[in-house]
Amino acid sequence: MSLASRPRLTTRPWLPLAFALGAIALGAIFGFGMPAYVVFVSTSVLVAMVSLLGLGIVTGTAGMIALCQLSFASIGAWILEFLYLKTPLPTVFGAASFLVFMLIAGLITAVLGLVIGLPALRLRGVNLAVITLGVAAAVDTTVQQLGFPDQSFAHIPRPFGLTSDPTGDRGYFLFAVVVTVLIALAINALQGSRIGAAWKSVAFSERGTASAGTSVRTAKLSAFALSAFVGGIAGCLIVGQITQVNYLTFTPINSLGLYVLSIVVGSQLIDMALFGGILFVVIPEILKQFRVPLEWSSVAFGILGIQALTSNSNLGTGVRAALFRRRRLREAARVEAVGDVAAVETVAEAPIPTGTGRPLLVVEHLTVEFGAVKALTDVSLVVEEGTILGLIGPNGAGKSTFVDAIGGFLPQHTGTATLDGEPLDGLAPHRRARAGLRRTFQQDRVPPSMTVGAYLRFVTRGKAGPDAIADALQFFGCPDASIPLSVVDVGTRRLVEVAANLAARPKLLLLDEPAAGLSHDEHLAFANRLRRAPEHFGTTILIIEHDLDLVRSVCSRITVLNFGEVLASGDRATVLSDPKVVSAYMGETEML
Amino acid sequence: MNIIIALAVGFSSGALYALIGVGLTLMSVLTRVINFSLVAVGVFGAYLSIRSAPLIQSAPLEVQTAITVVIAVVVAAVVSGILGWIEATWLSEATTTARSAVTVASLLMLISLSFILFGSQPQSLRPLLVGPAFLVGEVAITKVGVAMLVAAIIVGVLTWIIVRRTPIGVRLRAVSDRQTAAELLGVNVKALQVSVWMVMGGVMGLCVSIIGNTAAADATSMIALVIPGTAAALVGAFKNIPLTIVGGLVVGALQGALTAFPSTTQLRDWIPILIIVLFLLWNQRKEVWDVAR
Amino acid sequence: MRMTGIKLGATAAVAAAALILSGCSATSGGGGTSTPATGTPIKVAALSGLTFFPEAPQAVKAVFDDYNAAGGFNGQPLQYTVYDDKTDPAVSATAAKDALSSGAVALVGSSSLLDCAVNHKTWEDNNIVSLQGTGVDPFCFTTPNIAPANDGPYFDAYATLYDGSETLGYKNICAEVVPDNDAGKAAYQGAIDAWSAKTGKKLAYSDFSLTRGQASYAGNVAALKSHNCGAVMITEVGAAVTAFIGEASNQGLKIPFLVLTSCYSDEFAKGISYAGDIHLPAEFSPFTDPKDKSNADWIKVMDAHNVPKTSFAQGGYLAAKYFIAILKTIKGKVTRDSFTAAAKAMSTPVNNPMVATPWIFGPGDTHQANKSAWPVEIKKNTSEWTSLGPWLKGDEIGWVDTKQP
Repeated sequence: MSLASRPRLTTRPWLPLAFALGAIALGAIFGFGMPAYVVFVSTSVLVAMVSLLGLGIVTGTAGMIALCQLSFASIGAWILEFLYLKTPLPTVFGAASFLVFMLIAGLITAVLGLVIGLPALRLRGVNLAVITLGVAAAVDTTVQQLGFPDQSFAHIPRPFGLTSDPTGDRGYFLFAVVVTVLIALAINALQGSRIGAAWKSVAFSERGTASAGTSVRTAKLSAFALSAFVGGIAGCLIVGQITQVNYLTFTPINSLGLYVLSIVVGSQLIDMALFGGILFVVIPEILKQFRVPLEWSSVAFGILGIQALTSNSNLGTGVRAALFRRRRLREAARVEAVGDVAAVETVAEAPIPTGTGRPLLVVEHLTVEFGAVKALTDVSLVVEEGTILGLIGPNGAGKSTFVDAIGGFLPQHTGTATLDGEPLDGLAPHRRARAGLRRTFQQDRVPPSMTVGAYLRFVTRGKAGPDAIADALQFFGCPDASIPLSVVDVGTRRLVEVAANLAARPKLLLLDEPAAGLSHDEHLAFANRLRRAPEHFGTTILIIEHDLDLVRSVCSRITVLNFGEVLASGDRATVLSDPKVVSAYMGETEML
Repeated sequence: MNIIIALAVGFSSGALYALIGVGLTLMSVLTRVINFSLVAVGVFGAYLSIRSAPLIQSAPLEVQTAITVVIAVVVAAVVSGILGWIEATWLSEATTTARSAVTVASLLMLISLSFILFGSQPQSLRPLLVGPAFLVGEVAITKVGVAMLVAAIIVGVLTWIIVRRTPIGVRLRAVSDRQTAAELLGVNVKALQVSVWMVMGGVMGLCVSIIGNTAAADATSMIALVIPGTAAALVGAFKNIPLTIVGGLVVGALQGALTAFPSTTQLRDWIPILIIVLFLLWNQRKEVWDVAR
Repeated sequence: MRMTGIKLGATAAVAAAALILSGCSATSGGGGTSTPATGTPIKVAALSGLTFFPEAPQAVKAVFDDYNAAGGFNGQPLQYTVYDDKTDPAVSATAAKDALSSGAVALVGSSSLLDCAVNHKTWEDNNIVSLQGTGVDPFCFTTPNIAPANDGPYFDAYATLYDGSETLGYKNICAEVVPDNDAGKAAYQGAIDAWSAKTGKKLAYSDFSLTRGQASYAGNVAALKSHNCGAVMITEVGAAVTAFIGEASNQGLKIPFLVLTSCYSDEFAKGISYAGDIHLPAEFSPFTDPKDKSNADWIKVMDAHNVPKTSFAQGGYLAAKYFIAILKTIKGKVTRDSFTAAAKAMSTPVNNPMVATPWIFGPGDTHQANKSAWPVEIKKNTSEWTSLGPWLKGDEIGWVDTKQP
C-alpha cells in the first residue's frame, strides 16, 4: 500500500501548533453556534476520528490489519466507569476525575494491547488480523456477560461538572475537540520522529527494517500499543458523551467498519481521519433522512474498501497527490539537476584502500541448506579491516544467500561468523546491525513514504546529526534531505540506501549489487566514491557485484563463489586470472 | 456436570471448527490469503436458498431440500468466486496482508447485506441432519458433528490426492509458490485460483445448509464461527491439514469442558484466542523470515 | 486521480449538506401526508430497535395513516417519525434528543431492548410520556412517564412458569435466562421468586449465562441434560430460541419448552421441528386462531398496510389506539404538556378485546396495565400454533408487579 509523504513541515515547526489552536478556536465557534443536535452528533464525529487516528497508526502507517479498535474503546470505557463507580477515587480527584481516569484507562488499554500484540507481531503481519478478530468477538461476549459498571442504571458524570442538557453538550463538544487536537498533535509529532519512520519502514519491508538496526517486533508493538491507547481514550469520550454504554456500542461489526473506513480514507493522515469520522457518522444520518436501512453505509464502506485495496491507494493519497502534484514535479526536477551535477563531477581519483591487515569478519565453514538444496557449502572467508572485498560469481552461486546468512536472516545455517572478535551467531538481524554490521539489498527496500533525511535519521538510529547526514548525502551525490523518497528514482534510492548505511558508521557494510540501475558514468562516479568510503566513514566493505569493471576498480581482494562453494579467494589480480574462475564465467555476458 | 457429556458436546462443535479450519488452510496454501469471509459466503448462500421456499412449495419434501441445498452451494460458490476473481485480477502480486484485507471488507459487506436482505428474524434454515448419531445414556454425539468431521477428513484427503497426484495439483502448487513463473509457463492462473475460491465457497454453503440454524441462527455467526476456525488452522500453522483437524477438535473439546464448570463459562469465548496465542508463540519461536519480505 | 477528486468533492459536499440539513430540518417525511386533514400536524415519535422489533412502529403508522385518512384529530393529521436506536445506548440517547428537538408531543409504539433504561429520565425532564408498543427492560414498567401496551418479559416469564407448573403439571422446571444486565437479571429473578412464592415450587436448575447473539448453545443444552428437567423455560427472542431448540434436538432432548411471546409468529413455527411441545403465553389474544374474532380489525389494518403479523405488531396497534383515546380527552390545543397532563389525568380505562385487562395511564409512579396472557402451543412434531386459552390474568395467578431496580 503506498502511503502519502509528509509535506515539508520541518522547516516550520510551529505550524502544527498553529493548526491546533486554530482547530480549537473553530471548534468553540462551531460548538456554541450550531444547533444542539448537530453539536451532539459532531461529538460522535470526533470520537470516530480519534478511533480512526489510532487505527491509522497501526494499519495505515505500520501496514497491519487490526480488527478490534472498538474492543479497545470498550475496555477503556469499562475501566473509566469502574474507576468512577467502584472506587473511592472520584473524591480524590474531584472535577478533574474524568481526565485522570481517561489517562489511566488509556494506559491500561495500551498495556493490554501490548499483551495481545506480543504473540502476533513477530513476523507475518496477517496474524494480527486473526488475533484481533478473536479478541473483538471474545471481548464482546465477555462485556455482554459482565455488563458495564453502570448496568444501564447509573450515569457517569461528565468532566468538569458539565451537565447533560444542551449547554452541557456544547461544553462537552469543546472538551472532545481539545482532547482530539492533543492526540492529533502527539501522533503528528510521532509520525515525524524515528518511531514513525520505523513504522513506515516495517510496513514496507520487514527485512529492511531489521537491517537498519530496528527490531521489527518493537516497531509493530509500539504501533499497536499506541493504537490501543488512543482506542481506550475514544471509549472514554463515548462514555462522557452518553454517560451510559452497553456492549452494543462496541460491536465487532463496527470494528470491522472502522478498519475498512481507515483503509478507504488513509486515516494515518490527520485530516483524513477527520474526514473518515465525518463519513462514519454522517452517512448513516443521511440514510436515516432518506429512510434507507443504515446497513447500506457498511456496504458502501466495504465496496470503497475493496476499491482502495485493489487500486493500492486511498482518498488521502489521492488528495495529496492532486494537491501536491506541482510541488512534486518541482522536486523531481531538482533531484534530476543534482543527479546530473553529481555524474559530471571530477574529483581526483582515490586509490584502492589497502586496509590495516587485521581480520574484521571471519567466516568459517558456513553451510546453508534448504531441504535438499545446498545453497552454500563450507564457505570460509576473511575480510580485512579497512578494505573492500569483492564477492563475485555466476547467477545462483549463493552470493545473496551468503549476505542473508551473515545478516542474520537464515538462522538455520551451520558454521560460524565473527565480527571484530565477537561471534554473530544467534543474534537477530537487528542486533547484528547494532553490533556494527549493516547491509543493503538487491531489491528496493527503501520505504518511499518518508523524506531522504528522515530515512537517514532512521537508519543511523538518530546517532548522526544533521551535518553528518548532509555529509553522507553529498558524498554520494544524493538528493537533499528534504526531498521525499517517492519522487526519487529507484537507482538513486539505492544510492541513498548506501549513503544511509555508511552514515551509520558500521564496522562492516555488505553491499548487494549497489550499482544496478546506474548509468555507466554513474558507475564510475560510484566506484570513485566507494574507494574513499572506508577512510571517510571508518568502514570495511564487502561488495557483491556483477559489473567486473567496478569490482576491479574498487576491490583489493576478491572471493569467487560457484554453486555455493568458494572457487577462489585472494588478491584481485591472482583471482581474476585464475583459469577455474575464467571457465566458470564462460557463457556469461561479462567477459574478463 | 458430567465431563463426558461436555466433551462429547464439544466434539460436535469442534468438528465444525475443523472443517472451517481445513478450508482456511487450503485457501491460505493455494491462494495466499486468510479468507475471513469463508463462512460468510456459506451463510449468505444458505440464507438466500431458503428464500426459494415459496417457489418450490409444491414439490415433495426431499426434492425441496435438495433444491435448497443446491441453491445454497451454487450461490455460495458464485459469491466466493466473485471475491476470488477480484483478488486474482487486481491483487495477484499483492502481499498476503493486502489480499486478506479484501476479505475483511467483503465480510463487512456480507454481514450488512445479510441484515438488509434478511433482517434478523428467525431464518427457517432447517438443519439437514437432526438428532444424535450415538446416544449413550446422556452422552450424545450429534449427527452434524459426525458429518462435519467426515467432511473435513474427506476434503483434506481429496485435496491431498489432487495436489500431489494430479496434473492440476502440480499447477496449483506452481501457482501458489511462484505465480509469475507459472503464468509464464502458460498456466491459467486466474482460472485456477477462482476455481479454488468457488470450490471452497460451495463446500461452505453445503456445510451451513447441514448445520442449519443451530449454529448459524443469524449473521453474526459469520464472524463467530470463522474465529475458532482460524484457531484450528493456526494449530496446523496454516499448512498441515491433519493437525488442523486435531486443532479444531481440541478447541471444541476445551470449550465443551469449560461449560461443565459454570464458574468458568465466561472463559469459553477466550479458548480460541488462547489456542491462537499459544500456537503463534510456538510456531514462531524460531524467527523465519518470509521470502518476499 | 481526477476520479478521486470528483469522488472526494462530491462526498464532501453531500456530507456538509447532510450535517447542516439534519440539524435544521425537524422531521422529514413521516406519516400522514396523504391525509385529507390539512391542519397543523401533531408530531408523534417512537424509538425502536429496528433490527429486533420493527413491527410495533409499523403497526402504529398503519393505524395513524387510517386515522388521518378519516380526518385526523379535528382536521389535524398525526405526523409519525420512528428513530432507530440500534439497541445501542449511544444511539438511543441521540435518538431521544432528536425526537425531542423535533417537537413530538408524545412517544407511541417505542420498542427497544433498552430505551426505557437509557431515556426515562430524559422523558421525565422534558415532560413527555411514552406509550411503549414493546416494553422490555424493567424501567418500562417502573417509571412514571412510561406505560407499555404489552405484558413485558417478566410477567410473561411468570405466566409461562405458572402455566407450566399449574396448568400443564410439569415438574422440575429449568430456566434459561438472558439477563442483559443486572437490572434485567433482578427483574427475572423477581418473577421467578414470585412464582415460587405462589406455587410453592422451585426451579430444578437456572442458567443466567445466556448472551444475546450467542454463537452456540451446545454447552447450555448439555448442562441442562444433567439436571433431569421436566420442562425448560427460556426467555430469549425467537431466533435464539430456534437455535436453542435445534441444538436440543441434536442432543436427543424431547422435553417441553416454555417460551415467551416474541416466538409467537408463523415464521417461528415454520422454522421449528421438535419432538416436544412448545408452550407460550401470548401477550394479546391469539391471532393465529381462525376462530378468534377479537383480532379482526387488527388483521384488516395489518394486511392493508403490509405489516407482518406478530405479537409486537399487536402491541403497536394497541399503543396507537390508546394514544388516540387519550387524544380525544384533550380540550384545547394538543401540545406535549397538554397530552402528558391528559395521560396522567386518565381515570377511565380503555377496553379492547385483544387484552383481558383494561389499559390506563393514570397518575401513578409506575404503569403496568397489561397483565394478561393467552396460552398457545406448538404440538410436538408440528409447525403451527394451536390456541389453548383461557386468559391468564395477573391478579388471578398471583402476579406481583416488577419493582424498580
